Amino acid sequence: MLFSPNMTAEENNTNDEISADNAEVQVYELGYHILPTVVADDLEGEVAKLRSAIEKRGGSFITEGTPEMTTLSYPMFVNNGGKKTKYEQAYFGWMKFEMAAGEAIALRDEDLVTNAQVLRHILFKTTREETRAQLQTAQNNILREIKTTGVLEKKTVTEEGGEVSQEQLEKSIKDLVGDDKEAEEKKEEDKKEKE
Amino acid sequence: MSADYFSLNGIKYIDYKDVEVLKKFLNPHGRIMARLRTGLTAKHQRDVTRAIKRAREMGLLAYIMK
Repeated sequence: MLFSPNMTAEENNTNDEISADNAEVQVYELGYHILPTVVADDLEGEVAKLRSAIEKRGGSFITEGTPEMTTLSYPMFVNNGGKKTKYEQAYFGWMKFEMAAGEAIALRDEDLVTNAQVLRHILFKTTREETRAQLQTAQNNILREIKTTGVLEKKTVTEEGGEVSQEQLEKSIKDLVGDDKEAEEKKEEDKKEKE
Repeated sequence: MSADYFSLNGIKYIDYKDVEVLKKFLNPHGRIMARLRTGLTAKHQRDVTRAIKRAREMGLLAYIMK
């Protein structure tokens, strides 16, 4: 609404409020699907078009997600001169930027809706902070931790004799081997006697 | 789900692009589960609903699954 001398003071005030709202800088997120028919080499050019449209309207970028080919959850149809074209895949990308409210509306109506290469788009107010959920597996594990009632004590095994020297070890091995030899000799003698 | 999923996992914002998180709050038919079932706070339930609707609009989630 433009200012006119016939307007009352109240009307002028409301107009000022609307223009002030339009001038207020907000953080916006733009999500878009670019047609899968666009060649991968030209994809950057299409994104650059969107970027330049935002910059032209005084937008400043915060973060951006590069477009990737995604399979759509349902087919989307585009009417091209009376002919319906079905799309089941598209390049999905997003960008977060700051812009005056009035400019954002103009961006939507003049640049996004009219862009034939943009299959679908969404533009909404958001926050400057990172909004993606950052799930940490370790954190999840902590949540699923089972509470134990008590802590088991570690069993320490101590040998009765204390440390064993190398000589003692050798002796014990010899004894064992010697015992075996004696037993074998006895067996052989028994066999001979029986024969 | 007994406790609020987002409070438990320290998730401050609910994003429409986090499809795997949003799927937790859909029934096999793709309908948004009631707050009684999700166990979310009223605010988080509203945020989830908004995010699911945005994801559906952008073709990241289906309107009907079966």
